[in-house]
Formats: sequence, structure tokens, C-alpha cells
Amino acid sequence: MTAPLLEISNLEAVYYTPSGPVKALRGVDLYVKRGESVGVAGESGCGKSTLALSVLDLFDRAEGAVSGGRISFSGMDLSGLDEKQMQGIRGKRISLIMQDPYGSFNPVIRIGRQMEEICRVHGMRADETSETCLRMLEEVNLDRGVREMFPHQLSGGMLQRASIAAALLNSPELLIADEPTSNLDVTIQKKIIDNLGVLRKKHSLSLVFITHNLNLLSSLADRIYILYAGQVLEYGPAEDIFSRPAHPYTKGLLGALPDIKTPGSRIRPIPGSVPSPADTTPGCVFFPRCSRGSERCGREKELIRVSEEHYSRCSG
Amino acid sequence: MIGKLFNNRMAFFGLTVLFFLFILSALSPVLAPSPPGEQNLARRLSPPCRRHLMGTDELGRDVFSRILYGGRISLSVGFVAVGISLLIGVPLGLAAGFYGGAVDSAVMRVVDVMLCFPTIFLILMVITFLEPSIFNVMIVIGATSWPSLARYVRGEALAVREREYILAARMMGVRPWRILAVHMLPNVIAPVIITATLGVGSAVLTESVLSFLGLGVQPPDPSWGSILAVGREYMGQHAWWLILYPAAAILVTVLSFNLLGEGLRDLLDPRLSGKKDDRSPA
Amino acid sequence: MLRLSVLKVENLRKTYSSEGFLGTRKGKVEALKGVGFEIGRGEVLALVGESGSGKTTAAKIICGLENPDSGLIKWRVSRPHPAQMVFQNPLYSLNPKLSIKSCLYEALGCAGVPRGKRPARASELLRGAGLEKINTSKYPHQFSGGQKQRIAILRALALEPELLVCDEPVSALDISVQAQVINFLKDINSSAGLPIIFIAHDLEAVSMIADRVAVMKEGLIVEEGPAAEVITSPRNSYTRKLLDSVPVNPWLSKS
Repeated sequence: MTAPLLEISNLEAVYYTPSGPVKALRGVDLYVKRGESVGVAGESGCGKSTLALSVLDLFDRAEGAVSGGRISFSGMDLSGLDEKQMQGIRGKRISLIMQDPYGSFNPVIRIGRQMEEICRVHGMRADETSETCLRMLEEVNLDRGVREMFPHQLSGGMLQRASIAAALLNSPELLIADEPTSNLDVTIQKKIIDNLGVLRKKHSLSLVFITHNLNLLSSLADRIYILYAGQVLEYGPAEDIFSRPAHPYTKGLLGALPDIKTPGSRIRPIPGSVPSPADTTPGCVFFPRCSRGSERCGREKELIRVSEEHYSRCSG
Repeated sequence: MIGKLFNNRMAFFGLTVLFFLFILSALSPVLAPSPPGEQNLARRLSPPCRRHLMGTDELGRDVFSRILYGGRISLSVGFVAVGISLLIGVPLGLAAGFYGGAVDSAVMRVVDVMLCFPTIFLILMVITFLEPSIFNVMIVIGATSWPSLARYVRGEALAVREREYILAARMMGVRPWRILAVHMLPNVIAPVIITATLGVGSAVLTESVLSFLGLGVQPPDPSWGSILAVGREYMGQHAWWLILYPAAAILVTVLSFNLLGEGLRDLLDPRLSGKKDDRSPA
Repeated sequence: MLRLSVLKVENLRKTYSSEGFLGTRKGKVEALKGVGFEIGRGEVLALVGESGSGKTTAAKIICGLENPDSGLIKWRVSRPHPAQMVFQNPLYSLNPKLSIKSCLYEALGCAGVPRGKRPARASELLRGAGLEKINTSKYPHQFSGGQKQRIAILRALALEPELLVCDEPVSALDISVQAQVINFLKDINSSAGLPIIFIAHDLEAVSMIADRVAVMKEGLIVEEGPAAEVITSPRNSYTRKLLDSVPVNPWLSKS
């Protein structure tokens, strides 16, 4: 296997709370191959957004930080870079789009100007910026008039498309999308996801798509990671995860998904709730909610091979 | 929550100093070496020495004792004045924000008119009509600081009014007074507490200014402001202790209230201090 | 088949005019252009539409939070607050400064339950939602989104309403948690026969609970019918578009 584009090893991250630092990520391993689309699925509180922030070191110094592990991008160790070097990576080689598009733009500057600034900051020649912006807006199916508008004049869906355009201006190698469609209407959601698929192929883009909705990943992801309480519980090719899930949590997640093909049927939620990050009970993190626990579950579980590229911490 | 208060350095520092000031004020009868009114003309205007830690004033009275008793006056004026402004401003602001319409217009017009006058000007105008006294100072400061408080509370109330739990209360048939008291007030109170804390410091300062001008606390009652006034009179004779100590007392007091207020702001209102809202990191 | 109508709504219209700078009229938004439907005892009616469809406006009008410009609202039973609402955002559905206990007791108080009977009745309600083990002295922020929504539903149930209006009750929850709330609503509907209007922006959540579906677009109902029919063979092109937008998971199979 050729070296992956992004390789995260044993990543740990903490948030600072009045009662001390709390681990949001507890040793996460994840890799993304060139041109691949990886889905990260998990419930609120599992650490998936923290993962996105960690890769690009976007923590507010006072709130949290990466506390261990290694993040390697294209052979380069990201954890060793200083802020200036990271700025050269953000928006240029790795881009990030987030759940709230209104938070990604400066409300008092026109969108076109903000996009051009993104181009210039990364060294694009002045005569090329205008053309690049126009081209990207077209690729996300936005009218060129959007350049003259202010963020609040666009709907959520349109603004999210603008942020995708902005993210791709400098032809990054990797795009991280953190719940980009969770706030949007369903029809817009579909358009954006289809659009992402097209853009991916066209620009040979690697994608990390973070979401709580596994159904979305069925069309979008080549491989899927299941995140829970700051740990990867299972990962593998999309087909394996959906049709041959190994971990009880994955099975539970799949069983809780609504299925429009069988209207009126009863869906089974997973009992209990996600543990608080401050909970440091040893052993399997899912044990309290698992229907198949035993004494084995009191010990830390390793990732064991289920099949080719499919690993799980438990075989259920 | 009290635990968090101790973790915040600013608030903790402010709180500690204020606690200290309180104790000093409360125990002034015990701690003061001599009654604040006791004159000793033989020892007038003497610099600090062992017997008079902060020197004596123009009538030979011990400045240290007068500073201690002055603290009582300043702190009580501060609290009562702010108390009055809360009593008037909070209900009016809440009502204006919650009911809207005519109530809102009426209250806000009064607020607008009052805010047209510079506060000090307003206070001076009123005081010259009334007799200068501690009591009147408290009332006047309170009566001139409620408008901005009411406006602030109204703003908060407007935001809270549209929240789902308020709609739910209305739909359940909860009586308006109960909605205001149980649902709106507790959710609006955090910024009010912060403003009130800062307001006490400001009231102390205003009282000092009034007393300095001779319009506040009247002799022989001691006030930091009036001691300062004497100090100014006797600047030619280099009676620096009559300026330094009262000024320091005012500075320390107002600063502590400000620090406490800022600390409370970090604690109670993540929004105001520029931090993210209270969403849990996921 | 005789069906007792709990609520009948006819030709509801509502226009909002927004103010521009310095009070000048900026524009009018016709939120509802003549909406009508009926709901009977024990039914779950889904109102499905995207932003701007008018579904939230209709909900607010039914619950008495807004007045329509014109139209008829006929309740089978006349009482001050026949409908209760469950809101979308669990963050502000419950007063953050009130403990769960106080919240439920207040609702029971509004329903006329005497003080002495409130603890027992509150426990009964909590048991119905599977929440009997929670510490009711705790505050909303100490519970998960799914739990908060269920508590919000209990608050509405305490008043024994004629109709429960749920405005996108699961949209802000993780998809894996939606089941908790939807199953609870289904239970209430079948055991107490309580009619529910379930408002959603997509057909996926609705497919799990609705008996009938009304699809709304720009202030009008464009299609209405039994859920199974509308979802499997929609007649209107917009409905079909909504259906196509649901992410289809080819591997999802129900045992």
C-alpha cells in the first residue's frame, strides 16, 4: 500500500474545564489514501469535530489542544509545525468546511472579496484570482452575482456552497467536511452531496466527511470509521460496515436508522446516552450500553482484524 | 458555581479585597484608634507617625480612623444606590421587553429623555435642590442610574421573550407575572448582576466626587471625597497624606468591584467575554 | 368510516410584512395562502415542507401563538389551550433555570392538579417515557438532547391536550437518537389515542410515524394522503423531489 495522504496515529486531544483537562480523543488512528473518501460517523459528543480541529490545529489556546499522537500529511509531520507553517497548509493543501456556513464568512465583507483574499494569501497571482473565483462558483452551481453579496443575503444552502467553493480555490489535496449539511433542507442536502461527489472526481480530491447520519455515508464514503467516546470502535470499507458490521455499537447505530423503504416500521434506539468525556472508567467504552457485555469487557480492547482492511474492537 | 469563582483569578482577587474592605468597615469601631470626630488642634496637619498611621487632618482628627469610617459610608452608598436602581430599572426593563407595545414605548421614552442628560449634571441639578446628605446622595445616584440598566434589561428581555420555553409557558396558561418572575427574570439576571457589580464601584466614585464638591456627605461625617477636598485645600502645605490615602482607598475599592464584575462576566456570560457558546465540544 | 374530527382547519391565510430601514415597508411574505386540513382522534398527521413552506406558521396558529389573517379553526372541544407544542431545539425548549421537577409541577399546576397530587402524577408521566430513574432535581443542561425532548413532551402531556403539535422535534437530534423520541410519540399516540401533528422537513423521519402526510410548499398543501401512499407512490412532482432527496442506503435491511 502506498503511503496514505493523511495518517493520524494515536491522536489524543483534551479540553480544559474548570475541573481539569478532559480527554476528547483517546488514541485515534485514522488514515486517508489519495483520492479516497473517508466517512467518520458518530453521535454528538464522540469527538468527531475535535478530530477536524486537531488536524489543522484550530483549537482556541485557552480551550483545548492536541495532547499526544502524530498527524502526518503527505509525509510531513503536522504536529511539529509552527503557526506560520500551518497557515500555509490551511486553505491551500488541506481545507475545512464546517456546519455553520454563516460562521465561516466575515459578515461585513462581500463574498467575492473574501474569496479573492483566500487566493492571494496563498500566493495566487492577482490576475488569476478573479477567474479562479468565478470558475469555482460555477462549479458549485452558484450565480456569478454571488460575489457582490454579503453572507446574510444568501440562504444557508447557497452559503454552504460558497464555502465549498472557497475551500477549493487553491486546489487542496484534502477536504475535511464537518457536518456540512446538518442544518440544511433535505433537497439542498442532496444537491450539495452530489456536487461534492462530482468535485471530488474532477479535482482528485481526498475527502473526510464527518456526520452523525450514517445513511449519508452510504453514497459518499469509500471507507468508514465509527467513532465513540473519543475512540475508533470499528473501521472498514463502506460495504463491510453496512452489511457485515462487527461491533455491537455499529450494529446498534444501523438498527437505529430510519428506513424510508419500510414506512411505519419500528426503529430500535440504542439505550442510554453517550458517556461524558470526563468519564474515565477503564475497559470498553461502550460496555454500559451494550446488550452483549461480559467480564471480558472490563479490559481495554484492541482493534482486531475482521477481514481485509476491516478492523473492530469487538466482534460482538 | 462558587467553586468556579475561586478559579477565576480576577474575580477571586476582587472578591478577596472587597471581603477585606467589608471587615474593615464593619469593625471600624473596634479598629479605629480614635473616634473619627475627635479633634486635637495641637496636632493638626501632622504627617503619618506611629500614633496616627495616616496623619491628621486640619482639625487634628486621625485620618486612619476617618478613612475606616469613610469606608462604611462609601460602601453603603454604593450598595443602596445600586439597590434602588435595580428596584426601578429591572421591573421596568422586563415589562418593556416582555409586553412591548405601549408599555415599551412609554418606558423607553422616559429612559431616552433621562439619558439625554449627562449623569453628573443631572445629579448636581437634583442635589442643589435637595439638601446634601448621605440619604439624598443614595437616592439621587440610584434615580439617575436606573435608565441605562432598564434599557439593558429590556434588550435581554427581548431576546429571551422569543425562546421556546417562554412560548411553552404562554401556551400552558401560566400567568404573566409568573412568566416574568420565574421564566424571564432568572434568564436575564446574569448580565444584570455584572452590571450591578460594576455599578457599585461607579456609585462609590460618584459619591466621592459629590463629597469632594461639598454636595455629598456633610462634615463632620467622614467621607473619602471630603478628606480629599481638604487635601486639595491644604496642598500648599504639602499635606500629601490627605490626598494619597483617600485616593488610594477609592482606587482600591472601585478597582475591586470592577475586577469582581469582570470575573463574574467571564463566569456568567460566555457570550460577552468572547468565548464560544455553551455547546459541548463534540 | 366515521371519524371524529378533533381539529378542522380551513383556508388559513397569514402574511407577514417586514419593516425596512426607518420603518419603511420592505416586503411582504405570504406564509400561508389558504391551508386546510383535518385531524381525527388517534391520528398522526405529518406536515412536511422545507424552509418557507409555512409549516411552522401553521403550527403557531393552531397553538394560539399567532393569529391568522383569515380562515377557520374548529375544535371539537372548546377549552382555553387545546393544543400543546413540542419545539425543535432541545436547548431552549426547557427553561434552563428550572429543575425538571419544578418544570413538570408547573405544568401540572396549570392543568389544575392540586399540589399534593403532583409528585405522583409527575412520576407516572416520567415512567411512561422510560425516564423514571432520572433525578428530577437536576437541570435541563445535565440531560442529553433525546432526554430533553422527551421531558418537553411530558410537559405538554401534563396538560392533557386535545392535540400535540411537534415542530421538527427530532431535527436537532442525532439520527441514532431520533428513534427514542419517535418511538415515545408512537406509544403515546397508540395508548392514549392522542392525535399528533408531526412537522418535519423531510420524509425520512415522517415515514416512521405518520398515518397521513400533507406536503407543503410555499404556503400551500400540494399533496395529501395516507402515508404509505404518498411515500411509495407520490403524485406531485415536489413530493417526488423530496422523496428523491432522502439518502437511500442500499445496504440497509430490516430483519
